[in-house]
Amino acid sequence: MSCDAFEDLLPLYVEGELAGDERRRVDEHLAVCESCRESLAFYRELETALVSRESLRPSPAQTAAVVTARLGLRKRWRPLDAYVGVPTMASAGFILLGIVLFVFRGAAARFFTDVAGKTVGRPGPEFSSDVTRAVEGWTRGIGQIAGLGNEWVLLSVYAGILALVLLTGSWMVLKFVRE
Amino acid sequence: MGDPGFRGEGDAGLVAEARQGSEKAFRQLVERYHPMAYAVVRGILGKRSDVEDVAQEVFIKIFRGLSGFRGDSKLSTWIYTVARNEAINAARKSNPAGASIDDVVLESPEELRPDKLYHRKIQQEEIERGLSELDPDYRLALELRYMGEMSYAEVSEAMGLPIGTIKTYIHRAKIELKRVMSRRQFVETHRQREHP
Repeated sequence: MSCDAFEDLLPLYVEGELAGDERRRVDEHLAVCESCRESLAFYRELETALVSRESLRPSPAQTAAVVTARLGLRKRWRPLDAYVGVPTMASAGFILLGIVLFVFRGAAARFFTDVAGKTVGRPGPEFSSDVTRAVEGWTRGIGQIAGLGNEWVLLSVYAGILALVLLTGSWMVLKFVRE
Repeated sequence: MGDPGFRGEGDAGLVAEARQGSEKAFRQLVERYHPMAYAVVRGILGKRSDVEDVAQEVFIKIFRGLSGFRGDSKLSTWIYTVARNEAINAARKSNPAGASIDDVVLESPEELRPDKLYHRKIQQEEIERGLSELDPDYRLALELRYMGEMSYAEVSEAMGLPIGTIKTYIHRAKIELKRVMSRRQFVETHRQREHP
């Protein structure tokens, strides 16, 4: 076989497509032919460069995002309830209720006194003052949790609220990105 | 390199969901077939800045044609055909002046010394120039195989040619690349010698 004939086999040799006698003959020729060894080095370099061409292509995920956006398929920011789970909503609701009761504790006390009095049918001053004391004690308790006279409790509540906001926010962002 | 049969798995389900407007399903289809579509467009247009734009147009057309896709042919074949047509249309619309070495007076082949030319890393730019000189079918097969990360079987199926023909195309493409790149390298060396 001539050098040209061997050279024609080199791309197959590099790809591992030669087997048996054919590969052995090429090996024997390469051992004695410097020119073909140089060609082999070229084809090996070429194979490496061709394989790395994949990196020149934009990522399929990137293209998919652009195409779906252009088609108007990509999900937009949905209402809060679609992203926030029930536990998160419930926690937030309780915290909000606590804050509202604390802020309006005076009005809450009067409201409960009035409602309790009417329901039981004894809106007397004694009963009223009992209920008022109970409700005031209750709202004071919430107030204490919210920070009255106890900075650490206040700090914990704020830290809890902040953590809740951050966790919920991260979850929403992750969910949005995934979708 | 791609695993034969992998790309087609679950296509029917994805098509059905995408047809109903599922963003997730269509995104999966795009991610699955983008390498092939991009390789087809690149194989036909060569290195141009609008290759990705054309590839995106392919998938816009695919989405709009989903309702008419009955599955008589494989999804990959349909996408290949759309990509090919889009690339050919884009090539017709603009015909950028590509660098050619045809006008260069070459020395006799004996003076080409490939043994002295390849003690260096082959750069992608050299490959781009080399690819631009290849037979279009060779170039397309090569791009599908490498840029599209497809197996010989997948390239064969996409191009609708026997696997033996695809292997021959790619084999000849590499031999031709060596010839073209040797010639270019010689010309550049020759020019540097005359105009240092």
